[in-house]
Amino acid sequence: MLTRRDLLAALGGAAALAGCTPSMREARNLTASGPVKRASANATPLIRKLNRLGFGATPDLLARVETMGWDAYVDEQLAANQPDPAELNFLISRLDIEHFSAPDLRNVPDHHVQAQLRQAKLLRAIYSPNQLRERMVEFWTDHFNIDAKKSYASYALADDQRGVVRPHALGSFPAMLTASAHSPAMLAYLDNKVNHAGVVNENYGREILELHTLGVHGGYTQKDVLEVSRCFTGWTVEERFMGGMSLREMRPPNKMGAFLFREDLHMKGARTVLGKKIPDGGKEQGDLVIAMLAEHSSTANTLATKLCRYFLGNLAEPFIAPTAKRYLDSKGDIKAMIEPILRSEEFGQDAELPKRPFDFIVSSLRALDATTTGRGSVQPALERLGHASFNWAMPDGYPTKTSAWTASMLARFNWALALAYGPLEDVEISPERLGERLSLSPEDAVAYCVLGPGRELPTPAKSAREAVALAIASPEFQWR
Amino acid sequence: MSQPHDWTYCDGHGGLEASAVAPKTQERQETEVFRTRRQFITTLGLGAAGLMMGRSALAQVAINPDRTSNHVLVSIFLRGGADGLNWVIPVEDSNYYRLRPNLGIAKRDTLALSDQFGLHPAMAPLMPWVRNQQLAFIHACGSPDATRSHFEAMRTMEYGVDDGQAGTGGGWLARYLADTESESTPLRAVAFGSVLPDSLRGSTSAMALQALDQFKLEVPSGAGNEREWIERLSRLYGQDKDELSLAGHETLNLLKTLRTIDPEADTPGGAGNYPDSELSRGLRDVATLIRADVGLEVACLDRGAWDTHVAQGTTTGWFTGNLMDVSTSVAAFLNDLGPRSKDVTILIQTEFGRRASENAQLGTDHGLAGVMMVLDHQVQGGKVHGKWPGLKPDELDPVGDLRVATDYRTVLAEVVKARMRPTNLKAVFPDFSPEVFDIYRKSV
Repeated sequence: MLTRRDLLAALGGAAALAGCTPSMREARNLTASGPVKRASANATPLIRKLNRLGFGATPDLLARVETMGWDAYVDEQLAANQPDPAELNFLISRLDIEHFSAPDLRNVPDHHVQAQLRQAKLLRAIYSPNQLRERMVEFWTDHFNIDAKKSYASYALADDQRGVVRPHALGSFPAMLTASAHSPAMLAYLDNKVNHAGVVNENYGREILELHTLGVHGGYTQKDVLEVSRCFTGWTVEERFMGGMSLREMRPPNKMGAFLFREDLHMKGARTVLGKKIPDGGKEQGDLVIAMLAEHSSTANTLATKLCRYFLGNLAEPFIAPTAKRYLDSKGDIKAMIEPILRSEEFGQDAELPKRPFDFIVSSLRALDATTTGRGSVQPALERLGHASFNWAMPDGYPTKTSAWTASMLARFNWALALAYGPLEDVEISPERLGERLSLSPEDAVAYCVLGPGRELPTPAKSAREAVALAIASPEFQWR
Repeated sequence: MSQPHDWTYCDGHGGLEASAVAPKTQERQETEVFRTRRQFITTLGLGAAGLMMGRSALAQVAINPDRTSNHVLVSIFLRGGADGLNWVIPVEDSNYYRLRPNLGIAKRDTLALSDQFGLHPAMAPLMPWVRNQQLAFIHACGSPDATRSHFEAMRTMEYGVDDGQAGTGGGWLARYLADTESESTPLRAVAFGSVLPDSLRGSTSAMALQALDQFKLEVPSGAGNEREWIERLSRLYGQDKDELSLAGHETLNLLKTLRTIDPEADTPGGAGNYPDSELSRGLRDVATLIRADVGLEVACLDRGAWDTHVAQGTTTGWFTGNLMDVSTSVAAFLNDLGPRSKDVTILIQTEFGRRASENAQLGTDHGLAGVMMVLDHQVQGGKVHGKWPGLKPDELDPVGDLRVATDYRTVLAEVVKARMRPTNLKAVFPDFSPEVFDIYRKSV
């Protein structure tokens, strides 16, 4: 049998997919070069807020936010309509994952696809002015975790990011939940694509209840897990080259790898989920389950707890109930949930929120206005730190608690030293240029950019490079 | 590790993840330069009195009340499918010689083990531990995976589940570490390899190292030396009591400790006894970590090249060479550890055994059940555990493989229960209820 892959390979498709990758020459256009207005010493607390709302301050951003005021900045970030720099769009547009659907991507080696997924996520986190959106992409990528190494899920992950996480990151949770349930990457990762009448697979049914919505103590039973799983039987992925049709009636090629409901694999019969009747039917049984879960008060509690802790650490408790209420009142509007958190006084207070390694790396690059393509030495560093994107096997997403990350300290020190002294493949910094732009000595410029206006290094540095290493390796820089 | 993964060519399945080995460490001993987080916290709790009592008092509060705190699991995975039937050999079974007219190993060439079994002669270096009853064999042992794919079988075993492809729970050792998380240490888990093995997948407290000398500050040229940077960073990480500051403090102390170890001088059992192999170098690093008392808890290592489809040899050649490497490396490791070897459990496993009958190329193809080995002072060693399903035609599975009589998790669960930290076995092995199967002595 001729597969699509064979056909494309025969046509030379594989060669065409080899593609181009962004170069440092292009990446250099991403960083500004003109003079930077310095923020006042009063702006230092903004660094913490910017670490939480997004991935940290940049030399330019600090003064800009101080001038416009925090509330105006929150307005801007909630609107999330700042144009991304043309250079960022250009760099990302050069990636294969932006141009090919999942089945066509399968002609590219798996690890290349994973590398590109990681690269795109990292570049946006560093360079997008819509920092809140990228922060929420990080949050929801964990919430709807998919392991790229499971069942070739990496090939469908680009579509998942494009169609599930990114468009809804600051939008409607019910819409995101619906999109996730239909996402081929999720269908593969949590085995729903092999969840069939007669061979019911409970993996997705369990996790949508336990992790995506109600929470483990959210009031469901083992029987509910089974019934939900039965409702989702037949929700699968089109994997037949021609959709099971003859050449004449062949589906458009882009159907392959797309969501497919197969009536013949769907289990017949009425169901009872959370005490409510779901009438006999086809795909709409799953749709009804999603709607039921999305409006459940336990879902509101799960999401409110998780979001409040993500942004407020150990100060979260008083915020949880009001945030849950806003979820229910707004029918799942994510902005409505987080806006009061972002504007709260507590948002800038010490809350024992660790920078996970992704945060640590991205904020170090942002603080120093680094130039990078998001490849080269950055991704191996994230792997050594234990936080490569799309590489968490379990459906609960990378951990957030501090104790999970204490083994990463050596790798953090080594990153600080490598970033400071280089040479690092595909990463460049220049404390001297920062100094010129800020009208400060290079050492003072580093302290300003990494630790804040008016701040001093934790211990005196003999050179700007040493200042970079000490500032990035300092205990203070490890916290969000 | 860069073992020749010849077996990667033999199976069409994708998804091969670079094999790796993960030893873990957990620190608990104190020296002047090295103090664990727990001791640190305990000391803080004791206040000034604790500090004034000095080192001996610290040593006292550092004693971990749970019985297995000093124990180290050394897990060696033989990748490629080691031939259990030519390793622990059913010397009294005529079916064995019928199935393997060329590859069968004559009883007179084997090392006596029991009425029923003899050992491959390459196991000779480990015979002292067989005779001391510290080395136990579990035969006809394996997983429910019947794909006979290296990758699916390995993933199943390393995830500790029924079916590694369906699993989303990460590695069994990762779950064990998460479930027993009582103190965070910089070297609780280390994999000797370029990436973590699947057994440690999902553990952020695990670290992959090609070799121990990679656990160091990588100071770029022009930036001074490592000692200066350890001192410089120690000034930043001396005061604060939050979790990350303590972790940084411990990491720097561990670096100081490791800097004081001269690997050449630190091989009391004799460096010359270690063969020149990757497994051997890894084990030597593990011995160093154990002696340094940095708190090692689990060490995983790999030994590849077991996929003997062609010309595997009998008492010489490919398979014999592999087995010699394992037995001489492990023997050197135990001798090197000396009395500290009582703190160690060595677990040796492979993803599957091989076909009962030899093939036309004088090799063996992928099978089902294989052999597991447990080397431990408290194990009921010197014998073969587990039911023996037999090699008669109607006793083999339809493809012609030795059937699995003992699930691999039975053995893993026994080791965890007898020798590791108290844990919820249901969390570590979610779809498995261990059978009653005592490979450990009752007094444990």
